[in-house]
This record gives sequence, structure tokens and C-alpha cells, in this order.
Amino acid sequence: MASERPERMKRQGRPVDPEFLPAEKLFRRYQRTHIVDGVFTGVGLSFDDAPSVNRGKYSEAADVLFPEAEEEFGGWGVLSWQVQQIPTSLPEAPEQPRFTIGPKHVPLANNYAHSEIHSVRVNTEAYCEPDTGIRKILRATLGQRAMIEIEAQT
Amino acid sequence: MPMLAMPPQKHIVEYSVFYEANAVGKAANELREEKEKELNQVTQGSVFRQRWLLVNLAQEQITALSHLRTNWDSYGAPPPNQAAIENASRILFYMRSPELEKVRIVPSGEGGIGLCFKMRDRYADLETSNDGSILGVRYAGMEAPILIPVDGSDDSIKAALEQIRNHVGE
Repeated sequence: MASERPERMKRQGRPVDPEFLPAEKLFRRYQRTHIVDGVFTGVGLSFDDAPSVNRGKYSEAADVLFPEAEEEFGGWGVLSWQVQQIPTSLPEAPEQPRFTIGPKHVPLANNYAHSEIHSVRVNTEAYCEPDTGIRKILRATLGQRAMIEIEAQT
Repeated sequence: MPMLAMPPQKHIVEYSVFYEANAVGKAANELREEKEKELNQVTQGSVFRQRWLLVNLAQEQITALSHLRTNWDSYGAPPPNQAAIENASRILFYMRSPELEKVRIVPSGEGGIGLCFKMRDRYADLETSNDGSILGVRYAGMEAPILIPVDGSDDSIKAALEQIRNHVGE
């Protein structure tokens, strides 16, 4: 893969775009070790911090494989979720929701599409790591709904 | 009641490493090979031996994960620590041979080890975390995932494996 980033990836003064359409894709790289019998396992995800993704409105799947901070991603794969596949609040009814979840555009200078799957405690704004059980359910749900865009070789 | 009443198979791995990297000379190697051959002949087809080999293989995979570097997933994940490794070994100890054949051992993005099972559209995992906790989940197809609680006791591990057995099938 060429190491020179395409123009679409550079921020170049563009503003934060908070609007995500339901069908917009979010891309994330993964390794083959997290494919269990053909499907991605949510064990490979973490919500210790908001997970990084690239939004499809401003990028292509393979953009998450561009080298970063001297790290190369040859042989890695890319998976995706549509925005509408991410639970919007957890826990689900009949329990009272305690966390609101959704994508947040967090552009970087060399990666305008960079976004995060954000989790906030209801009626707050700062990122809040979901409770253990909710986090486990959220990771499993995302594993269950992930689509393979580029198959990992390593 | 486990089929094999012995402590977690840490020693087996250590012996394997010793054998591969030994520096005791040709005569000792020949003796070892001869004895291994005899042992293989005696235990061929034994359920006990089959399980021993499966546990050994799984334990080696768990041990290998401890050598991951920090940020192995490029998103900042820590490698599994001793607490996660020991809990994963405890779970192996209570697994039956069909589960040992099926289990996929993977590093956790949150730091720890995932023991994953999948059969057709049925998925389950038990995850041992670096904080010493264990938690599982199961789902079928696109149904909502259900937590498998584990309080860390041997009984709760056995109950979790039973739940996985019933969910995924043997």
C-alpha cells in the first residue's frame, strides 16, 4: 500500500461534521485472530476509551490501513458497521437506559474521517466507559453485526 | 467433577519448552525419543491422553498470548497479564474434550483472554480480564446477546461452561 495519504484523508481546515446518516459505514481494522468460524468476535474490541473508526462519508475502507506512527498494517483486515447497527442506548428496555451510544466525528490533521463510537452517561456529554456488563453486551452486539470489508490475512 | 484431577497444566508447557530447548546432549535426546515412543504406544487411543494433548495445546496458546506487546491491536490494547492467564487456565481445566477441540483462544482488546465457541449461528465466549474478573456472553444469530455471569468460583466456571455447552452444543 502506498504510504502517501490521498487528499481525501487530509483535514485541510475542514470543520467537524456532526451529522451521521443511518446507513453511513464506520470502518475499523482488525486481525485474523479475531475471526471465529467466519465471524468477528467482539472480544477484539475495547471500550476502555472510545473506539476509533473512520466514517464512510469521507473515506474508503482501506484508509484505516494506512501506516500510522511507524506502524504498518499489511495483511490486516477492515470491518464495518452501519451507524444504524450501533445500539443507541443501553441497557435496552425494560431496563432504564443509563448510557447513550453513537458515532462522534473527531477529525485528525492527517485523517479527516476519524471518528469514535462514543458512550456517555445519560444527561452528560463526556465519554464514559460503560459498566462492565453493558460493555460486554455492547462489544458482543458490535461483533455480531460487524461486516467484513477487507479480509485479514494475518 | 473434572475428568482429570490435576492442577492447571502449567508444568506440561514447561516440560515441552525444556524438551525443545534442552542442552543435555544426544544420548538424552535419544532416550527421551525412545520413551516418548513407548508412551505413545501405550496411550494411543486413550481418552485421557487425547484430553491431555488438547489441554496442552490450548495452554500453549494461552501462554503465547502473554508475549504480546502493548498496543498489539494498534488501538492501545495491553497484553494479558498473569491474572487473566491463570483464570483462562482454570477454565481449561473444567472443559471437556469436545469443548477443547472447539475453543478459539484470542487476546482481548480490553486486556485479557477470550475463550470463544461457535457452532452454526450460535456463539458464546468467556473472557478473563486483567483485573481478575471473568464474564461471558452468548447469542444465537441476530438475537440480543445474553450475559453469562461468573463470580470467579470454580462452581460458577462450571455453571458457565454448562450454559455454553447447552447453547452451542457439544
